[in-house]
Amino acid sequence: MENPFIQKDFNKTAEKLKQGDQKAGEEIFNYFQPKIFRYFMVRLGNRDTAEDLSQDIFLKLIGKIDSFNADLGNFSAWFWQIARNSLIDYYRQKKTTAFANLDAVSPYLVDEKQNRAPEKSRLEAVMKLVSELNEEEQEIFSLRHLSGLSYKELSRMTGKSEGSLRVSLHRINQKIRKEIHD
Amino acid sequence: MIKFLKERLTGRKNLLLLKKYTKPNKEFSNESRSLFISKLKKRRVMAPAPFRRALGYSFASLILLSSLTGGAVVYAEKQDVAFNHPLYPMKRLGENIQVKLAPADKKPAIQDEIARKRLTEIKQLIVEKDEKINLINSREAAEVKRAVAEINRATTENSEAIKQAEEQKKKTIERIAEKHKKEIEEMENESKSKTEELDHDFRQTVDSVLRAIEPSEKESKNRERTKDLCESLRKKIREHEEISKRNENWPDFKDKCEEVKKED
Repeated sequence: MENPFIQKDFNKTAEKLKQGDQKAGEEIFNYFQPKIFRYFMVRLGNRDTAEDLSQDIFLKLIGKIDSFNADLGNFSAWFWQIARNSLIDYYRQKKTTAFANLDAVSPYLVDEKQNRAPEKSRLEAVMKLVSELNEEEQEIFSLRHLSGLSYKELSRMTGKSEGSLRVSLHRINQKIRKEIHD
Repeated sequence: MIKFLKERLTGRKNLLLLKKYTKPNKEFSNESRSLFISKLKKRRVMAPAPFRRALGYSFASLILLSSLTGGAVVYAEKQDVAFNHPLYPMKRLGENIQVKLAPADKKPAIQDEIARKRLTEIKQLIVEKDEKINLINSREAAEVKRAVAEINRATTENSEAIKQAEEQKKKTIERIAEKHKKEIEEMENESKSKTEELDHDFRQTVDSVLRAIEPSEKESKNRERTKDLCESLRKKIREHEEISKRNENWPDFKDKCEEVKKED
């Protein structure tokens, strides 16, 4: 089974993407799209906005890929930085509460045949805990637990050392221990 | 022990539930993938970047000599070159020609598309600016680290030397910070003036679409098209407000588009 915390090296794929290689594009999209979407979902709490932003990121990628230089860095870190900047821009304009519209998105939770009431109440409890984390903690939580970033990637993205990230994550885990275990 | 295991199991289940909740839905992912790939296909016809850039520069001088061919205009227009590309003025020229030559009823749709391009260019500028700031900040951190390491290496056990080294570190850090602050300021000013320029062009283009809506508004056959244009403009204006971080007043839009909405 693939370890979610081991980051694949996409530098070669990114070079192919520069040449317009469709397969490389699909590979990058399939790998990053769910991870980036999850990150936006936790930080924005709104499915529509998360969809808009994640779609924009991939269109931006096509426009920006020429400026990516594999000699200067790692594609994954470079791409995550674009995602993070877009979110910062969005946050400057509109501030939304994490998981603000649970009712609107609850149809995505479970199969129609199942009774979703117990799941919904469990999810509400989990989300309450996550929404009580501060912005920085939400970011670390979502990137590590939901998007599956390694400490190395997280460190590149947030500018914090791997050691301090481990400490932060330990604190976050303490806060949410009641409802979530990794 | 059993209680502990139960807790771990519930916690794990809850994390999976959260993952399920934050998962993108299939329909959206498929649509988004198709859009991404179709944009990528357009890029496929382009030459590799270094060649394209070289081509851009050589074309720029060629065009001055042979404007009759209009090749550069077509090239710039087709490739949708970015704001800072040498052929960007050719793209704008191509847009103007397109508007001038289009029949009156097609003009608003073309101008609406041009407004979209301006909006995209404004967004690109903002992203570029943030990326440059990040780069400058990371360069600053690296420079400070290097300078401090150098000073540390040169310091002896002597307490006087250590004191002097501390002073030197402080001054070096201040000097580096000042240098990068200036760099960021210059870059922000440049980006601001470019954004204002594009902003102005965006407004002018939207106004042109609004002006063009008027004569056809009463004709029933054009009502659907007018409604579509109004809807498209509404989205762009909203997006522009988000980018510029201010509420904007578009009296012409209210007059013309709200009218269409009401009558329906």
